[in-house]
Amino acid sequence: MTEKIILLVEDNPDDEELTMMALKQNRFINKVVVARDGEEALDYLFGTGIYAGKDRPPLPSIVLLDLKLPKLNGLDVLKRMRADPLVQMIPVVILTSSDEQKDIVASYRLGANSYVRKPVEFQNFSESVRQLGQYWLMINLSPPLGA
Amino acid sequence: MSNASVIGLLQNTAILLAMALVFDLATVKMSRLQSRSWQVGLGLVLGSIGIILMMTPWVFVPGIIFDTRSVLLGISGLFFGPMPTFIAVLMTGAFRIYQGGAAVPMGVSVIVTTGLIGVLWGHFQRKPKEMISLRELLLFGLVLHIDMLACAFVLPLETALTVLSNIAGTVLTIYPLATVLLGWIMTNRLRREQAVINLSRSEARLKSLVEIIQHSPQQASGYWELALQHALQLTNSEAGMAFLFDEETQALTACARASRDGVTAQDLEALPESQFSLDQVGMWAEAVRRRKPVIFNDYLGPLPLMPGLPLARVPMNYLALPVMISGQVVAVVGVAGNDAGYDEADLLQLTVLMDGVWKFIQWKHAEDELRKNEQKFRLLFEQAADGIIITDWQNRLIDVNENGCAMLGYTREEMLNMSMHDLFAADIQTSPLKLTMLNEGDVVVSQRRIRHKNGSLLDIEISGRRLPDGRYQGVLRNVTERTRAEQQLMAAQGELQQLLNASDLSRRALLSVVEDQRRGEEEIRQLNQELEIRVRDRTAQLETANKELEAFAYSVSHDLRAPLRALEGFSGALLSDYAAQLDEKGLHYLERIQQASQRMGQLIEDLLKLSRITRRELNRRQVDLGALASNIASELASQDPARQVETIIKDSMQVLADPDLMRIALENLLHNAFKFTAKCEHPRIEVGVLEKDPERIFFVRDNGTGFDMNYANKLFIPFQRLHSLQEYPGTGIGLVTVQRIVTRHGGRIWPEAQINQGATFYFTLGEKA
Repeated sequence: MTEKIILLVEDNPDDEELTMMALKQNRFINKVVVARDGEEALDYLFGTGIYAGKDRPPLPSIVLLDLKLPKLNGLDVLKRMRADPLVQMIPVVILTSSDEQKDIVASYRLGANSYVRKPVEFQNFSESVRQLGQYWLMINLSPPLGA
Repeated sequence: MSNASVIGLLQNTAILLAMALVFDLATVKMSRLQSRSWQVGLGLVLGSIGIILMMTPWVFVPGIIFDTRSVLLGISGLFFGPMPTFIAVLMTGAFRIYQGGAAVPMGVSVIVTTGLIGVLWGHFQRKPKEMISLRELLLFGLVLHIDMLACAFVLPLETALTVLSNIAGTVLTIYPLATVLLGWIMTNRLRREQAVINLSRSEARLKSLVEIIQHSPQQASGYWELALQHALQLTNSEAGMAFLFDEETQALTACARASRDGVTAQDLEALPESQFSLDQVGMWAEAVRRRKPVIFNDYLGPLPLMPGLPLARVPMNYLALPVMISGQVVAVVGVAGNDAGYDEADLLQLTVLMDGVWKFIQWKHAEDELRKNEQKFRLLFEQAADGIIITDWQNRLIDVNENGCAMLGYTREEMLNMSMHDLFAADIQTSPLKLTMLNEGDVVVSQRRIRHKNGSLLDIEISGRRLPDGRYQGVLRNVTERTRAEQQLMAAQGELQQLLNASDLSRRALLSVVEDQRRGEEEIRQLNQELEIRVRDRTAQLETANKELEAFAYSVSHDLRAPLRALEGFSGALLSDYAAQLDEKGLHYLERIQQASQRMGQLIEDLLKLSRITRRELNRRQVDLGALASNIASELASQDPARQVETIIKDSMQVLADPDLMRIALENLLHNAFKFTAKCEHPRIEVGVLEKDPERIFFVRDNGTGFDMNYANKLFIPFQRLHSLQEYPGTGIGLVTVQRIVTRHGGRIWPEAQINQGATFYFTLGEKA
């Protein structure tokens, strides 16, 4: 079984570090690829931009996607992913500060698999990350990557 | 010349003249001499007179005798013509031969030659015999007796010369004088006869005229027919025609035709046409073309317009005559068929007759017109809707129509015995007749009061005028009703005016009320309009504010939480990972940072909730507040199972409200109630409703801490708290959120509380507002 890669799309370095902290606290040893804006996330997924030329990077098993991003925002990235046959089946979990109704509705409409609000308390956040990782990386069976 | 010869010849002359006078008295008119038997008779008489003369001669010498037979035979030839003279010559010649003597040849030749000279003279003399002058008679006598002296030369020359020397002077003086005298007697006689003829013609003409005039046919053509019949009689004609002529159109119109056989107007109608242009008509029209009468005797030619007459196409005589009135040809009349031929006398007869007839017809025509006019006038007079009276110059009524009588109630006879003064008795004093104006020809219209026969007074409008013949005509119109109606109308108009004035006043009053109302409505309308504009403005402002709020909330939701998370997360990491390296105080500060971060997170959470309530759409549905409250209460109770809280919730409180918002409101209220009864010994929470018509007042009551009502106004201000955080935690947003929900439903919320006596929150939901 190949290593399961987590693609974290997050522009805020604080949140990135906190997420890494939470993963570490919960003993996830998976490789985490961080994309700091929407464009970078798509470049990684499609092997373009800074990921072009070389061998195409391995596809992630899960995408943790923030909504408020520079350049392309999270919803745009989601839309592009769901439009592409190769990556459209990758589970996408929206991980964001917002609990606005319209964001939640829009995300599910575009095919998000989960919507998780980042709680202010770190312990709560850590617990959320633990459950997410447990579910999407261990319990849930994903279709074979690249199928 | 001896005295004896003169005396003898004078004696003979006297005898001749005496015989002539006797003859003159005894014999009938010369006109009858046209008959042959009369001529023979006359010849015998003349011959006899000649023999008487020859029996009393002057004897020159025995056998040679002289008498006035030459005068007798010459005058006979001149006046009576060949036949009587011839007989007389034969008788006297025979008697001379019987007398015998030396001078028989001379005597016979004198008889023959003087008779011949007379006949020849008479034949070549063209003018009427009565016009022969005395001078001509003298010349005739001289010629006659020179011839007589010349006859002496049939005697032996010696004898002839002797005779001539003895009698020539006497013969050439006495005999011509005798001839003149005898001839004068004859011409006189002829003139007398002519006068008699003329007289009788005039008489006949007059008789004709009288007959024509007395005749009264239906049409003018009847007169023409009759006139033609008379013309035929007067001119001895067989047939005649009359045409009317129009100078302008040059057209002839047949108006009558007559003949002795009785061809009449009926036959005339059988003609293909009765109107002809001048060119079409033949000889009859000649008189028109020449503008004078024409006489054709022995005319032989076609007779247009006389078809069927037996006279056509045989030699005939005719006379055509234009009837001229002041230089204009108005008609043409023709007669034909007088066998003796037409002469001036016929022309005169016809001219005078037709002139008379034309004038009569014209007069008759005029009279007819007059009568028609009179009838018309009478008809108008009687049928006029108005009364009409006619008065003479003395103002006596001389005519009145039926309406006039009816109007005033009198009979016609009564009216005609009255004068204007009688009629106008009612007011003639105040307003005399305006005769001067009338006489100047003006039409005078006046209104008078005239007394009806029954005594009532009538208002009569009279328009009077003077007629051309000096009489006056008045047209009467009864205007009593009109006058009364006018007076009534005036009165009615007066009343109407008053009513109108009154109604105008009230109308104006009403108008001012209406105007005020209108103005009020206008103001209201304007205010409404302003209000609408203001509402629209406010709505726009509100929308803008909402959008701003939304953007703000979104931003808060995303961006304010991240740093908090970092604060909380990293301070938490410090506490867990580096606790050993910090002293007591350092750890305490980190905990304070943690608590502050968490509280900030809670504040943001509550603020976002509040803003969401404001922003979301109100969605009313049937909600059971009782069930909802029970549900929430059990949740709250389960969160803190250690507490024993008595909850009294009225079941089934159906309202029409937004279920989600009602849940939030009740959550807040019940949460507060639980929270503030935490220190109670017997906490009790009550949810119920008060029926206060027209609205229902819901309430949530607790027996907890309560609060000072002086601070009640601060309850609904965000982040305002009446208790310390240590005492009761909270953000101070809950009640603000409840108030927002209630007001969004159109309701009110108010508290009732006392310190340590609990608090009650009442609210309505704008159900019947």
